[in-house]
Amino acid sequence: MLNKYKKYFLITKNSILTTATYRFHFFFSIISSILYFIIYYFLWYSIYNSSGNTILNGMTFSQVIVYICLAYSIFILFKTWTEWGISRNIISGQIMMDLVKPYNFHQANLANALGFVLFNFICITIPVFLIIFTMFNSTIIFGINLIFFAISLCFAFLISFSIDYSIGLTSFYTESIWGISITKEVVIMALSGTLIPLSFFPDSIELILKFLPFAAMYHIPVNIVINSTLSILDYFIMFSIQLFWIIFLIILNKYFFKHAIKVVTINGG
Amino acid sequence: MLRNLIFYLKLYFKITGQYIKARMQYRTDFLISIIGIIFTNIIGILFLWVLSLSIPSIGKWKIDHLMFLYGFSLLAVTPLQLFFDHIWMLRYRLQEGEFIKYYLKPLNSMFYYISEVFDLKGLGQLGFSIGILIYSSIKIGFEWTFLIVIIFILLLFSASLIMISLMIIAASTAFWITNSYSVLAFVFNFKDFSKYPLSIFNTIFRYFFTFVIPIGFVAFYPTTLLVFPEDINATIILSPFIGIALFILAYSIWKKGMNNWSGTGT
Repeated sequence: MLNKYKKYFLITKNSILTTATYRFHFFFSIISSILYFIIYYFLWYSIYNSSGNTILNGMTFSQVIVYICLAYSIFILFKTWTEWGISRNIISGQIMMDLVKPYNFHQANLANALGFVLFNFICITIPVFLIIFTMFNSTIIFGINLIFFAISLCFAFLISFSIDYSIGLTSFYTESIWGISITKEVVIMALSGTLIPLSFFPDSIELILKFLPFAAMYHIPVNIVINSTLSILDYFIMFSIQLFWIIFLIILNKYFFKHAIKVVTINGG
Repeated sequence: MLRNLIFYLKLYFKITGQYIKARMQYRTDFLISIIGIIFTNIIGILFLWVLSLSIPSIGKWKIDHLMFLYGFSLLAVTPLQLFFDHIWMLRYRLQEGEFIKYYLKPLNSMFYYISEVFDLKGLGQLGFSIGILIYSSIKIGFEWTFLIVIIFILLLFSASLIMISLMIIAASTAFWITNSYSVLAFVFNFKDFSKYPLSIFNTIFRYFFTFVIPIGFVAFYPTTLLVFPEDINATIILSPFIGIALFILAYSIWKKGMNNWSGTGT
C-alpha cells in the first residue's frame, strides 16, 4: 500500500528541494506580502476612521485586518504554479514524458503541488501567522476551532489544486494559459473574500458567494479562526460545502482529462 | 535628428509587427488575456463599489474621486504595459546568452530591446482606464477645458515615465544578479500604492512615497491637482522633472549594466 505511494512522495520531496533553491525569491515574497498588509492596514484604518463606527457590517477593524491578512497568506500558501508547469511542458513537448511515466498524471501533479505548499507553509505562512498572532492575538480564538481550521485548510488546498489543475488542462487545447490563469486569479481574489470580507457585499450576493468554491477556499478557514459564534451546525454546513466542491471538481477533472488527452498535440521530437 | 527619429519610428513598427504576428500563434490565449486584464481592473472597481455600500467617503475622497484616482493610476501604468513588457524577459535573455545580439546591431540597445515586444493585451487596459476616467469625471462634474487637457497630458507623461524608469532600474539588476524576477515583481507591486490616496498613510510613508520612491507622483499628486486644486502644494511642480530625472538615471543604470555584463558563455 505504502509502496504504491512511494513514487509520489519522491515527487513531493523533489519539488520541495527545487523550490528551496529560490531563497532570494522567498525573501522578496515575504517583503511583498508585508507591503500588501501595509496598504490594506492603512486603507481599512482610514475607512473605519472616516465612517465613525467601530463596527462595520458586524466586523471590527482588527477582525477585518486579521481576515484579510489570513486570507492573503492562504492565497500565497496555495500558489503552486501547477497550471504554469503543465502549460510549460505542453509548449516544450516535455508533457510526453509526464504521460508515459508509470504514474497517474493527476496524482503526480498533486504530489508536486504538495511540495510547494509544504515549503510555502514553513517559509511564508508561519512567519506571517506569527506576525498576525502577536499583533492581533485578541481577535483570534484559541481552542478546538484551530483543529477544524487545519482540516478546512487541507480541504481548501484540494479545491485550490483542483481548480489549478483544470486550468492546466486547458493548455492541452490552447497551449499558453497566461490569460485564463490571470483571470482565475482575480476572480478568486474578488469572490473569495481575499480582497474584501464577504460580509461587506450586499446580503443576496453574499449568500450566493458563500456557496461557491472560491469562498470554500478562503472564507471558510478564516471564518473558523475569527468567528466565535459558530455552532456544530455551521461547521457541518461549511465542511459539506468544501467536500461537495472537492468531489465535484475531482469528477469534473477526470472527464476533462479524458477529453483533453484526445486532442493534445505533442510538440517537438 | 529628425531623420534619425523617423528611422527609429519606422523600425519600431517593423520589429513590433513581427512580434504581433508571432504572438497571434496563441490566438485563444490572446483573447482570454484581453478579457483577463479587463477583469483584473474590474475587480479594483468592484472593491471601491462594495466599499461605497458601507461608507460614503474616505476623508475628502468620495467614491467618484477614488475612481478618478484609480483610472489615472491605471492609465499611467498603461504605457509600461504596452511598450515595456519585454523587461520582464530580460533574465531569460541573459541566462540563455541570447542578449549578445543587442550589442552587435548598430542601434540603441534599449530601443532595440524594448521594441521587440508590444503587449497587445495592454490595449484592453488602455480602453478600460479611459472609460473609467470619463465616467468618473462626468460623475464629479469635472470640466475638461483646453488648459486642463494640456496639464493632464503633461502629468500623465511624467507619471508614466516614473513607473517605467523604476521598472527599468528593477529589470537592470538582472545584469548583476541574473534572476531579477523577484525584484521586478516587488517594484511592480508599488503601483498598488498609487491606487489609493496617499493621505490615508501616516507621515513616514507619505514622505517615503514622495521623496524616496516617488509613487505619489504616479497618481495621487496629479489627481489632487485636477480634482482638489485648492489642496495642492508646491511639490507638484517637481513632477515632470522627477519623471525625466528618473528616466535618465534608469538609462544610465541600463548602460552600466550592459558594460558590466560578461555573458553566460553560450
